[in-house]
Amino acid sequence: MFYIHTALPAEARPIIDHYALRAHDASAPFSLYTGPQTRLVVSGVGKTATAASVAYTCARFSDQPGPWLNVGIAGHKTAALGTALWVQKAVDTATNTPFFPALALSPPCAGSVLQTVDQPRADYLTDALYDMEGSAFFQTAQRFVAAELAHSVKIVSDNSEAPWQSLNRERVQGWINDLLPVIERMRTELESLAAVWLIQQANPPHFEGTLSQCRFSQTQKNRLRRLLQQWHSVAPNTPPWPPDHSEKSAAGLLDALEARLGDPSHLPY
Amino acid sequence: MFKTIYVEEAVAHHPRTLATLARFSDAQRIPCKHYGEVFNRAAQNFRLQKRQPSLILAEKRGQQVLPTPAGYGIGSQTNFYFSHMLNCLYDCRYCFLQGMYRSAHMVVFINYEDFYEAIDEQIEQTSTERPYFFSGYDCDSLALEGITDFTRDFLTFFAQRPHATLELRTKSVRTHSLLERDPLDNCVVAFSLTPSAIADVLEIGAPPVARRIEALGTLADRGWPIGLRFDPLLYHSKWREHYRKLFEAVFARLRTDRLHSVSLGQFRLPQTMYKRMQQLYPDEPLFAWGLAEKDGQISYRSELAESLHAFCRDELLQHIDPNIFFPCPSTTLNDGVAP
Repeated sequence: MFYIHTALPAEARPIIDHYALRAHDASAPFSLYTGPQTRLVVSGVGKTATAASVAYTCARFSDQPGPWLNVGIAGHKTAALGTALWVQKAVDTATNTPFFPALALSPPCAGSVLQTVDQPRADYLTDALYDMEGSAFFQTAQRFVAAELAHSVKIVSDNSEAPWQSLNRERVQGWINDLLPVIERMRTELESLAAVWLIQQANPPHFEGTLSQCRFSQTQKNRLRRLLQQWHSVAPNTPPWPPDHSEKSAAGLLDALEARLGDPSHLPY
Repeated sequence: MFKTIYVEEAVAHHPRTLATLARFSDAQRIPCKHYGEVFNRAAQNFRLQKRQPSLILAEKRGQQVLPTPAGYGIGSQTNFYFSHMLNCLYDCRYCFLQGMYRSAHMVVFINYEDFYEAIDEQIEQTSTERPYFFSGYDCDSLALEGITDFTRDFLTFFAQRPHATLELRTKSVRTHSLLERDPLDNCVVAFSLTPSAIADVLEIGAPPVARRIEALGTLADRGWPIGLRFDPLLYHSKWREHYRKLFEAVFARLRTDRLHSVSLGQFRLPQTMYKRMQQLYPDEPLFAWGLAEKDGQISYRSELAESLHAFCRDELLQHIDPNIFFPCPSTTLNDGVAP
């Protein structure tokens, strides 16, 4: 599943239309839209709303984790209106804390540092992007997925010659429409990375079934997970215990599997 | 090659930084205050980053040169290591770097002059015997030569310090920076070697073993002292046959009068690193079979380690003088000391 966060409904609309998303749950605290492979949440403006919406969505769909992309408009001191920029680093200007998206893909377009501010401003102090959500997006999303799976792309909506006060919904939607090819490219790369990440997160075959056979302590569950991963890597098509095994206890099952793992017939390579 | 380069603000105008950036004029540049902001950040995934690592240009602060762990050496009791880079171009599945670092990005410390100063300090403090300085513990010494000019600069430095020895540890065949200059008796070019059958599977991105053998043979022909590093020894099907063939291939090509040292090392990892590596690669059989923990180290079970070590030692000693044979310490062999 691919997750998109926007702050504004106008930023969301072209994406909702492009992916044919449907409203998910009218009672949810944030506007949620869903499709077969994509979910989108609209948070409202600001760091708190962003953090809450991303956390809410991650928790609600914790059984379907996936990469996250923040999409939105941003100001920039010098860049031309409509310029697409990938966020290289987001700085929470209130605390001067930097957040780096961990990079494991090719940058999808030109990049920029992003300054996340608490109030709209038009002074554009540095030659960087300005928004009100980015740092909170990274800070929250990286709690739920690998840091390589949370990214942000912005489109320049205002600059020192065209202040944000002149923005309107139609212009925002038009710019986000222009950004769709970049979003699609990032989606492809992020889903490829997420496939590897999901392998790392997944429970190995036979894990859930074995847990239901007898009582395992948390330490034993961890050991079972590790041993089954190892078993699956050296004997992927063989059950971890022979069909006629007589082990009834968790400790007995674990010891038997560990002993079986050392069998020379399973020597890799 | 690198599409993104992080640059520490303190070295943004350093000549080596500017030269490196000029080589990658199309790469995006991202400023950072300290490389640790990027490299040490939590929640990173080494395996994912290894698909498209970035370059980080930074300054090495603090201790540039450190003593090696006890027992590691190739003939001297005074041994140091230093790392002008963190991480490696190659992706060897057994490599401890993937368990040690959170990031797969490659850090290049560009303040070579500080390394020189630290090395000189150690040389001055070492009055009794020849000190050895090992490069290639946290990286491959030669693989990024086209970017770092590391050997060009450090060989010039060591050429003026003949009473100290430099070891360059590598799997790379990028040896032209060595071949284009006169050999140094105080520079050992040490190649890491594994049987092809296993290297082809586990040493992803590294040059084929046959090319490494040819490279070390050529360097020896030109007079460079050569080190052979069979480390880690890897237990696998037909391992006896594969290691015997590897040794035969090496000694068929190598002028042994230029052979400086040979070392053997067990596959060994601190338990914390092993756990991280297993989490990164839960589908990797190398981390699944025949291993045991002892004293916080993960290694092959002692009977496997003993047989692997004894066989390789006996085979090697048919080719080399025992005085240049240096087995690495082990927790699984004869009370920790390799025979």
